[in-house]
Amino acid sequence: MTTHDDTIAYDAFLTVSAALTGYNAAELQATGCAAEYWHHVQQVLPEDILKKFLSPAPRLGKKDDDKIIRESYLPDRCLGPVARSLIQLWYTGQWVPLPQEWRENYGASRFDVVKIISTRAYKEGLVWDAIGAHPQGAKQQGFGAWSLEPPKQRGQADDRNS
Amino acid sequence: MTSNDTLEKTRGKLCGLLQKALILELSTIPPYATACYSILEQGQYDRSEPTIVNAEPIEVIRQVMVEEMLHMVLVANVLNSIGGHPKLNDPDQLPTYPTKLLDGRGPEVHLRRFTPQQVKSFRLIETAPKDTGPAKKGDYHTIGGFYTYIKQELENACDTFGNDAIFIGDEKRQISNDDYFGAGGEVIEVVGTPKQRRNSAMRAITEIMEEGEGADLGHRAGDKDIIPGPEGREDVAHYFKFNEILHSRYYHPDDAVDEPPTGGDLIVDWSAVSPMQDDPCEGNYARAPEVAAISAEFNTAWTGLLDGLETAFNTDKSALRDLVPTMYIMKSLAQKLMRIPLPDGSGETAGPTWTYLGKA
Amino acid sequence: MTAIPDDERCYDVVIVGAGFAGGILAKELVSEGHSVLILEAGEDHGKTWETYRSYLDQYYLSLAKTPNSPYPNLPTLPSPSVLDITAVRGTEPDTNGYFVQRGPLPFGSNYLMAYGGTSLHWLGTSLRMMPADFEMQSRFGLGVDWPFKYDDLKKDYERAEWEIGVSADAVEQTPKALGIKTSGPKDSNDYFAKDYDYPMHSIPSSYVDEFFARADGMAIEVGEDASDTVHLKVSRTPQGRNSTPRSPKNGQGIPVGDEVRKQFQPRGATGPFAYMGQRCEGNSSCIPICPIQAKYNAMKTLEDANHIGKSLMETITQAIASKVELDENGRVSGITYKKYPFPGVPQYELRRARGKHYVLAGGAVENVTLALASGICKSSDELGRNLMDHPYMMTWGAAPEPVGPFRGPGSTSSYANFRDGGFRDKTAAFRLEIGNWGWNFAAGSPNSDVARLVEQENLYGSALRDKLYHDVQRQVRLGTLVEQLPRSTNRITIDPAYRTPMGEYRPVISYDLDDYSRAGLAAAYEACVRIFQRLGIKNHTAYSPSDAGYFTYEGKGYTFFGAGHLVGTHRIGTHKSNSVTNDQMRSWDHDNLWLVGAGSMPTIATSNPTLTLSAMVYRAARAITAAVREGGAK
Repeated sequence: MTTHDDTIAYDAFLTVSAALTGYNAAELQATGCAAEYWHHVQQVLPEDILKKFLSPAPRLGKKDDDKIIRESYLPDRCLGPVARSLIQLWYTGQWVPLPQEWRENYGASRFDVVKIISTRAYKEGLVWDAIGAHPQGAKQQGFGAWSLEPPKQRGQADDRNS
Repeated sequence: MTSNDTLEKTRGKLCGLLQKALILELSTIPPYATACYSILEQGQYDRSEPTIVNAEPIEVIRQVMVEEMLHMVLVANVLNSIGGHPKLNDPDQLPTYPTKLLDGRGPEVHLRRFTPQQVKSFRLIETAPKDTGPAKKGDYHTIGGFYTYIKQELENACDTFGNDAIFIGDEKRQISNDDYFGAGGEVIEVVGTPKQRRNSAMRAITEIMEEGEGADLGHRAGDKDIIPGPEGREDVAHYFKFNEILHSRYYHPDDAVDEPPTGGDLIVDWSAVSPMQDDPCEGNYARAPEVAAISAEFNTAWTGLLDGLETAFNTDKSALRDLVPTMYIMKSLAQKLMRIPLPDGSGETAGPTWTYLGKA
Repeated sequence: MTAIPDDERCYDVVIVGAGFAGGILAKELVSEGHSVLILEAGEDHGKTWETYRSYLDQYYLSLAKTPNSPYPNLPTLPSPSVLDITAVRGTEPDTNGYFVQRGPLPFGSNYLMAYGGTSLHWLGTSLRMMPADFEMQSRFGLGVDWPFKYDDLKKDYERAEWEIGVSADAVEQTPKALGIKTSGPKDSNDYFAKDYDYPMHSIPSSYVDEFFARADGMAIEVGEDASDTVHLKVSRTPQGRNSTPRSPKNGQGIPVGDEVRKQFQPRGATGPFAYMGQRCEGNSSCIPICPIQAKYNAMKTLEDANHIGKSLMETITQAIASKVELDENGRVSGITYKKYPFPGVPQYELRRARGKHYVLAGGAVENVTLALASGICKSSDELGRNLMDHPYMMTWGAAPEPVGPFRGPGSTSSYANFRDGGFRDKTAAFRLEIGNWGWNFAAGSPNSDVARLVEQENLYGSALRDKLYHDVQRQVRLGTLVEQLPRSTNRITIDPAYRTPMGEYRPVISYDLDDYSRAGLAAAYEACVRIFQRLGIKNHTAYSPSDAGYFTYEGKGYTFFGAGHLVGTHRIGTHKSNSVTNDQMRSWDHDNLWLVGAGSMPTIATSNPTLTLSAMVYRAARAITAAVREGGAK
C-alpha cells in the first residue's frame, strides 16, 4: 500500500496541509491523493526548502495557526508561493507552477509544470466539497438531485470549532 | 396451515414473513455495497496512465445492488397489498455485522472488502435450493427457499380465505414505475381486482426469485429480464453474476448452470482494492475522532435512508426520489473512510459501519 | 499517377460521416433492406466502452475542459477548438486553429470529427422550431421561406424525438404554454398532433430554475410596439437525456409518425454497461461528456443500425472523404477517401468507395469543403454561403442567496418567451437559457474562484472554505441564443494555401453579425438586466474590447461566442437557382447525391438545430429509399 507513509515528514506535510486548506488530516487522507501530492511536492521543492516548509508543523493544530500561517507562510518570499500552490493543489488537483522569480531564487524543477496530477486528483479536489457540489463528470448525485434545496455548507466554522 | 387458523392470524403470519423478507433484502445491501465501494475505480490508482481497471466488476455488483433495492420495493408492495406495514427503522430488526441471514438458518455475511472469498460468500447468499419440497413446508436455508415458502403460504392463504379477504391493502401505497424507475427492472404494482392482485403478488415474488437465483429457480442462468439495447439479450441472475466475477468471464443466458460461463472476458484486478478492515466498528475509531466524525456522517446518511424508506412505504411515496442522492452521499463517504489508514498501524483502512442512529 | 483501387463492394448508399445525421440515415436505410457504407474520418473506435472510458479520463485530465477536450484531436485530422478563437485584426486571416478566419468577426463554433460526431459533446437540447421560423420571408420580409411548413415536418419531429429519446411533456411545450406571443394567430393550434407525447417525462427543473421562476409574470417590452410586451415565464426545456418513461394512457400506445409505439425503453450506455445511464444521474458534465451516456449520442443509433443491418451495414473509420467524383453525366461515380492506418501520422492509402447513391452527412462545414474541393453543386452559387450560428452571449451575476449551482444538466429551463413575436420584423428573436453551472462557462468557475481567493484575496483554511461556499453558491448565469438571418457573405470557402497535413482543404470562413442579430442581442441583454434587478442579482457581467467576440451596437459593447450550431451552408429550396438541394435534400446538380444535416436548414431561428436536422433526415431517408428502389438514372 503506497498511500500510507509513516515518516514524520509525511505527517508534517499533512499537518501543514490541514492548516492551509481548512480540512483536517483525515479528510485530506480521505481524498486518496495525499501520497501522490506528497510525492509531487518532494519532486518540485529542493530538500532544504521542503524542510523549512514543514518545520512549523509541530506548532500547528494548537491555538496559533492563524498567526503562524500569516507570519511564517503567506508573506514569506520563499514559502508563500509554495503555500499558495499547495492550497490550490488540494482544492483543484492541479499544480500551479511557482513564479519565475521564485524559480530563479530557489531553484527550478522539471516537475514544476501546470498539470492535473491524476484523474483522481481532479475528482477529489476539495473545491467541490467546499462549494456544496460534486466534481463535474464524477460522483454523480442521482436523478433529480439538482432540484433539491442547496446543500448546507459542510463543516462550517461553528462545527469545526466545536 | 390448519383450518383452525383464523384469517387475522394468517395475515399476521404472512406479514411477519414478508417483513423478514424485507429485512433480508436490506441486509444484503451493506455487504454488497461495501465490497463494491472498496474497489478502486478505473484510473484511480495509477497516477501516470489513465487505465481502465475493474470498471466491469463494479458494474456487475452495482447491478445486483440496485436489483436488491428493487426487491425491497416489490416486497413492500406485496406486504402493503395484504394490509401490512413495512418497517425499516426498527433497531431490533436491523442487521449488525457479521450476521447470519434467515434467523440464523442462512449463510453468515460480513462487511468485507472485495476479495474472491467475499464474492464466494455473496454467491452462497444467492444459491438456489436443490429441492424446493422441504422449503415449501418451511424447511429453508437459502433466500430462494425462503421465498418458495412465502409463495406457498400466500397461495394457501388465498385458497383458504379467498383473494378478496387477503388483499385488503390501500392501493395508494403501491410504489409504481413512475415513483421508482431506472434501477433493476420493472416495478410490479399489486393493484386491480382481488384476482389481479393475487397474480401480481405472485409475479412480484417470482421476479425476486428469478433475479436472485435464476429463472426456474436456478435451472437457467437467465433471469428473463431483457438487457436494454438493440440485441435484446437476456440478463443473468445474481448467483451467476457473482460467478462471472469469479471466472473473469460473462455468461450467456443459455449457459448450463453447472458449467462455467462461456461469454466474453470480464477483467478483474483483485489487487486494486482498498485494504479495508473486516467488519468495521465504531470502537476502532475511538482514538481517531476525525475518522469517527466521517463515520458518523455516513451513519447519519444511512439513518436518513432507512427513515426515508419507512416514509416512502407507509406515508409518502415521493420520499423515494430524495433517497437516491442520499445513497450517492453514502457511497462517497464510504470511499473516504476506506482511504484513511487506521491509527493502529496495521495498514488497514477504516470503513463504514452501517449503524442506524435512531430516530431524530 | 497510379489508379486508385476501387473497394470491392458496391453499396446501395455510401454515407460520409457517422454523426447525428449519418446514424439515423443508416438505421432507416438498413431497416428498408438497403446496404450502407459509412465513411468516418475519426479515429478507429474499437471497443466502444473502453474508448468512451478513455475519453472520460482525458476529460478529467484536461486543463481547459472545452467541448472537444475529451476527444482525440489528431494533427492529421484537426477539429476546430474554442481555444483557437481570437479577434481577426487587419487584413490577414487568423490561422491559429483549424479554421482560417477572415472575419470581420471570428466564427466561434466548433464540432467534432469522431465516431458519433458532435453528438458526443452536445448539451441535449431538443427544441422544435416555431411555425413562423419556416416563413420568415412571408411574415417579416426577411431571409427566406422554407420549401415546406412546420406541419410538413411534424411527423418527422415525432420520429426524431423518439429516436433521440427526448424528455418533455407536450402540454408544457406549445408556443402558448411557453408564453410566446406568436406572430401567427394559429401557431399554437395543433403544434403537437392529437394524443402525441414525448417518450419520457420532463427532466426535473433545477433549484436555479425555481429561483428564476420568481420573476415569472414580469412584463418585458421588446421593440417599440406595446403589443409585443411579453410576460416572463421559466419553462422546462425538452432534452435528449433519459428521464422517466411515459406510460401510454389507458395502456394504449402513443402515435408517433404513422405508427403507434409502446412505452419507450430508455437506452443507456453502449457495451456491457447497458443498465448504466437509463436515467440522467446528474453528472453535471453533459458538455463535454456524459459519463454514463444517459444523454443521447449517435453511437446508440449506429449500434441499432449495425444490429439491424448485420452484413448490410459497414463502417470504415479513419477514412477521410477527399473527393466526390462525377461521371460524364454529372452523376457521382465514387468517393475517394484517405484511409490512414495510424492516428496522427500523415500516411494514408487512397481508395474509392462506390455506391448507387451518395450522402454527405459530415456537418455544415465539412460537407461544404468536400463539395468545394470536388467542384460540385455549383449551379446555384449558394454552396458554402448563408452560414449561421446562434451568437451566444452570457450575462452573469451573484444571487442574494445560495441557489445550488453545479448540479444537474447544464441547463434544464429557459425563458422561451422571446422565440417569436411581432418584433421580429426588426429585432432578432432569442431564447434565454438558464445555466445550472454557475459561472463555469462565463468565468471558469470554480477553479478561477480558488485562484482568485488564494492568489489575490490571500485567503486560506476555513476562511477560504467559507468564502468559496458563499461566492460560488450564489453564481447564476443566463445565456442568450439569438437568431441569424441567412447572409450570402457569411460563408465558407477553400483556398489552396490552407490545407491540413493530410492535404485536405481547411475551411476558410468569413463571418459577421448583422444589425438584426445585434439588435436581438442588445434587447436580450436589456431583458437579462431587468431580470437581475427584479431578483436582486448583482450583475458581474463584463465585456471587454479585448475579447475575441467583442462587438458594439448603438454605442454599447458586448461579447459573443459560438453556440456550436452550424447551419445553412447547403440549404434546401424550391429551385436550383436558390438552393443546393431540393426539399428532400437531393442535389439539384447531381442526381444521386444528397446533402443532409444542419447545413440543409434555410434559417436557424431560435431552436438548437439538432432535432430539426434529425427530423429532416427522415424526410431524406424516405426519398433515398424510393430512389434506390427506382434504380438507375432518371
